[in-house]
Amino acid sequence: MKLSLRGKFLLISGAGQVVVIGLLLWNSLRLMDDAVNKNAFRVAHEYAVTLNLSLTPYAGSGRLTELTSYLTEMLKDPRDSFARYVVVLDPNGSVLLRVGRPPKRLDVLFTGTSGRDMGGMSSILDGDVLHVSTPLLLQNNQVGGLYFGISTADLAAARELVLQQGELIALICLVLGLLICYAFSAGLGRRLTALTDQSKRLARGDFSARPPARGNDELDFFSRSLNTMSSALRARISDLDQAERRLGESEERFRVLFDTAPVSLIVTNGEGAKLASNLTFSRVFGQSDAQLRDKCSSDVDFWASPDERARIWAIFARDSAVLGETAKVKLVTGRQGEMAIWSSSVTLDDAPAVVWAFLDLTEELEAKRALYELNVTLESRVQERSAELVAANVELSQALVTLKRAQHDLIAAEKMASLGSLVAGVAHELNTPIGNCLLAATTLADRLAALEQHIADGSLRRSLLDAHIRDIQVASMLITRSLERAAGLITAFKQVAVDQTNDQRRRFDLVTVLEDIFTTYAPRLRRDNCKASVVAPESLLMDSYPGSLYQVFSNLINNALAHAFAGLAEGTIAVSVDRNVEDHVEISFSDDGVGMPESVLRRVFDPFFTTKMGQGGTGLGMNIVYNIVTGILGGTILITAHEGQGTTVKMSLPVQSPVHEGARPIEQTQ
Amino acid sequence: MNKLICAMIAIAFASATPLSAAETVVIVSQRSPLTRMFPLQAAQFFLGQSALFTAIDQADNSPIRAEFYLKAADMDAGQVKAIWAKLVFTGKARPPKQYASSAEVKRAVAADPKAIGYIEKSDVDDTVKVILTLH
Repeated sequence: MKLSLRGKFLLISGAGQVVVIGLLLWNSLRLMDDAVNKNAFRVAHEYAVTLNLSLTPYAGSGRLTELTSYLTEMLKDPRDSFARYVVVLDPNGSVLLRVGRPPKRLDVLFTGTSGRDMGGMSSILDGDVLHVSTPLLLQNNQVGGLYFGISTADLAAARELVLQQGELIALICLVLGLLICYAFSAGLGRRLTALTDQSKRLARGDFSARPPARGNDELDFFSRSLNTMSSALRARISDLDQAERRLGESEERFRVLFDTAPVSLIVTNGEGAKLASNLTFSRVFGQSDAQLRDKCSSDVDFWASPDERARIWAIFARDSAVLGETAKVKLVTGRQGEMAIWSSSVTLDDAPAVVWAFLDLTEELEAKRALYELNVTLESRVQERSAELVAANVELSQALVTLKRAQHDLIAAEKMASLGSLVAGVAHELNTPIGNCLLAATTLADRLAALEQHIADGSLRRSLLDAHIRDIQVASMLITRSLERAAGLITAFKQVAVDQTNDQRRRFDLVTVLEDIFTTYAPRLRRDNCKASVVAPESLLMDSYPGSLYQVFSNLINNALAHAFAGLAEGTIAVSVDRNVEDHVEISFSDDGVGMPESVLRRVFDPFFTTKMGQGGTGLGMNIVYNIVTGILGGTILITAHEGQGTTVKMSLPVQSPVHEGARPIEQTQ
Repeated sequence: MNKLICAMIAIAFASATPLSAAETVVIVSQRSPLTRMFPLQAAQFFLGQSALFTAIDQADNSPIRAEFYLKAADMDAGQVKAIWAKLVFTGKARPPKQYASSAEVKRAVAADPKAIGYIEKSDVDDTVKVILTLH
């Protein structure tokens, strides 16, 4: 038998109620019976006590029969008393007193021990009469039996009433409970039906309806779960739709790509039977997609020779792919072309398939060949051009040699020119002491002539002679001093001149050389109102080229005079020599002249760069200085200058200058 | 001669006491180990307070019975009856067996070593042993 959930619920709840109510009823009856019995027994006991008390005095004195009429009267009407009968038996069982209607065999009734006992009292419930027996003291200490019965009819009636009312209440409870269950299950059923409808709608793909879920019981919880599931399903389905659309788009894209790819593409199955081809393929090979369907390349006029097909398939079988292998095929024009072939294995509809790509290399290869030929002709042309270039180069180097020679000549001329100006200065300087000598010598001659005259006159007096001698001494002293000065000048000049003209290596004292140079230039410096100071240690021996050093300093001094102090009333040249490193000498040559701008400083060592073009400058001075310092002397040179703040030339020279080819040290002349 | 003296002394004693108040003695069987007992001790066996000895009672309306309960327990016959009526009703004890004469009582006591009874002193013989004399 099939029952709905609701039917089952009603059945089970009904059965449960029946069981509970039945148990309740049974228990209350049991308790009721117990209470009734207890009560009846108590009543019986009270009766027994009362009867015993009433009967004992009469029984003790054997006058029981006196009571018969009283008791009969009392028991006549059942409504007057609960007692139904009273009987007294002596120990032998003979009746001493008998009132009412006792049962037939009283002693037999109490023979069985069923019933309740208390002290000497026994009681037995028989129908609606409770029979009681107690011992009774008779005459002469004999123990007889007192028997009586009391009615329990009203107790039974009360029990019956309780039973009836209990059954009525139980029935009402059952009906009420079933009604409540019915109503509750009806509500439950409605909600379940709504949920079932919702699930059916969900199954049909209708996600719009949402069952109400306001409460907090299991069904509402289920509704909420259903709602959550519904929204999750909706999201999932929309995702799937989107994915499907994307897949469609991507497939479409791929198809377009496949069709419009500039490379010939063809898809075959594992055995080479064509499944699809693109437009480029049809154009290149002149075979439409439909014509080639399910045909192998051997079935149509494709390969230039059958060997080509075999070769490509062999490569494919070996490497399971073909990567850029070139093969000869027949083109739509009927010509033979070269194709680079790529393959890629894929799975289409669960079957192995191969995508083949053909790149037409025919034109490229032809172009390559043309390029190669062009290259060959180009090479011969390049050779011609380079021969021309070599010739031009030779001419150029010859011109350069000529130029270098010219520069060298110019440098020599510059040297000579500076030497010439030096000579002029020296000559001028020599003029003074020699003039002084001449003056002293003529004065001496006059004094001697006057002395001779005095001697000849005989007018020579002692005082006069002393005066003459004093004059002569003065004159000779003047002459000596002037000549010494001239000799010093000449020595210095000779040294400078010799070293400048003969650039020879020797050991010398740098300090002495510097002093010689400044002595030589002293007249020019003095003429231009220029002070020079040399700060140097006692002596500083070098093994180098003093002539070159002369040249460097003469150029520096000339530059200072010509450029730094041009237009100035006076100037100061400061030279400091320091040997701060073991084998190098630091020489600083600074003036407080006008300095030079950055543009000039940048080109100051360039040959033929001069700011005094057409005014006697050759633009070679500083170039010569640079060449000598960095070349012959093997040192470094650095000029720092700012406009209006003087110029400082710093040189770092090795004490032992590097040895040059063709320059041998000579014996020291001094 | 001695018997005479004794009798005389007994008569003297008897004459010294009221005649209505004849002496009652509590007896047991000669085979009983008992030798002495106090009145209240004896009474307890007759009032259902002890079942150590089997009490043998005199008939209901005999003067000695009333005298015995009066002397031993200071109770009259109605009080004793009431005690026994309650004991019988509640089932706690059985009342002592009653005999119609002192001779029967004496015979019953002599026959049972656990029995205890009372008779007039004059009725005592060597079948029983007197353990208490009530004055």
